[in-house]
Amino acid sequence: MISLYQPGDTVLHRLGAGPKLAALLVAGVAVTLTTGLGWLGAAALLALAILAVARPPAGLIRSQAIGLAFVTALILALSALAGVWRDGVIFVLRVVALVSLATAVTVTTRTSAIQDLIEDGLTRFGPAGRRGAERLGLAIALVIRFVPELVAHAGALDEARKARGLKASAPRLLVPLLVRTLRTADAVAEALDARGYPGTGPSRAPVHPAPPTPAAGPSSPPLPEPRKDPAS
Amino acid sequence: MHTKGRGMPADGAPDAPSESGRPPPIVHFDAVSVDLGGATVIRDLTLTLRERRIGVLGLNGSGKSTLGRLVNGLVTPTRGQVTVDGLDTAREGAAVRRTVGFVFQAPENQIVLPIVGEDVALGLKMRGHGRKAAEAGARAALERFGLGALHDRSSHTLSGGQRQLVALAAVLVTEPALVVFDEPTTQLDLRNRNTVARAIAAMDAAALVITHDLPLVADFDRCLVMADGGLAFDGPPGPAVAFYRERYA
Ligand SMILES: Nc1ncnc2c1ncn2[C@@H]1O[C@H](COP(=O)(O)OP(=O)(O)OP(=O)(O)O)[C@@H](O)[C@H]1O
Ligand SMILES: [Mg+2]
Repeated sequence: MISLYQPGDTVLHRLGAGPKLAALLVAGVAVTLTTGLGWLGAAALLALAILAVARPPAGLIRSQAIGLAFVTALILALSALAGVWRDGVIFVLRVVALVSLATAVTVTTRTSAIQDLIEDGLTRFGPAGRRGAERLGLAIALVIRFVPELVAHAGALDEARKARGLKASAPRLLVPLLVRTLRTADAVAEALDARGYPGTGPSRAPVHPAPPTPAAGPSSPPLPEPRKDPAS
Repeated sequence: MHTKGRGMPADGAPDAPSESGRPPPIVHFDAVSVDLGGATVIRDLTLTLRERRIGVLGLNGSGKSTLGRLVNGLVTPTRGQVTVDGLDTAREGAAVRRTVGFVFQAPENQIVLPIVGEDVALGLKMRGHGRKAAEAGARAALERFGLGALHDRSSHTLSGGQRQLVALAAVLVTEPALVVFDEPTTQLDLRNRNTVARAIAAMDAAALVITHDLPLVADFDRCLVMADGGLAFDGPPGPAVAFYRERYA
């Protein structure tokens, strides 16, 4: 596993993995939703300051700076050509802020601490082991699956706002987005339930001739006979 | 025996598979009421369903979706009991859901994995098939529905019609004995609507189809009209549609 962790004794090293990841998440959402140049500039500067506190190795900073400079130049040039330089600057400030913060977290946090965090979280909610790992896999897949839907929905909300000539405001976007997210979560949970996701509903003692369960052994169970009538 | 007069065969579909399937599961509602958010949305419903193709009509808010959810235990009765082949939906929900599949009104939420092929395989994995078998089964199911080209697509890039068909494939791949459809054609253009209608007609499994698409139920075996949480009509589709039109149009 790739790890950028650098042993050290900074404030950031001493902070727990949980708070750091939570802060990164919050910052990510905030920076993504902000469009004010002043705010974004301040966020980028603050993120760079936090990164400096983490004392990342010079080699890492150099390679990241080169990559960032390249992307920044490209985006700025393209957006200037397209006459949307402001969007280009917004994008660049967001990237600088997020990359700096993410680097600060990864440099000061052991990968194992992040894994432990996730496992601890899982065991608190149910039986550990493979089941937990499976659920984590499903959770990650769900995030990958539904984040684009939510982004699209945020875009649609913003379009509707513009069509009605309303000013942009965080609550105007966040409240409907939150409602939509909760509804989606509800519907997805129900869909998983309907498709037989174990662990929801009373799933004891199957009454039908049970298909082999994953608990039966480490090897893949054989494919049950398809219940089809012989073709006539 | 094979009496020729039984029902009307679905358009051009070969009629052999429709009669050769398993018998539909018997769904029994015994004095069922459902209270949701302080209101009674299903009132004292007693009903036995055993036909292969059953339509459910009714105005918005009449309780159709709740009826459908009762059949596979997504909603359980506040009073009374629902059984599917003798299984109580409230106590044996997991077993019931292996018998009864559900295709939701909003297809965007029931395709839960990022890649189409993974999503179709999910149902098989959850029924204990190994990874390889589930992947092969998913690929075969998509091919069977003419959706093979979508196997590696991102789920969020599908059109509404493609989503509905993928959702249907993902349910049918697990070979349920009965599939509940909640307004399967509502968001579709005419062509996709016809594709879905043909897919339903060709299904080996039994179907309970909730819809506002009246022609969809025309050749069904039975049709219910819901009103205010109860049955306003129960009979063959012709008279049911006539009743529905006269009463509400
Ligand atoms: N979770 C809930 N909480 C409170 N009330 C609900 C809930 N779900 C449904 N209802 C109410 O129950 C009634 C029946 O809802 P249902 O969804 O079964 O109707 P429907 O016939 O499917 O309507 P439509 O044609 O609009 O889909 C409606 O009045 C609805 O507002
Ligand atoms: Mg409904």
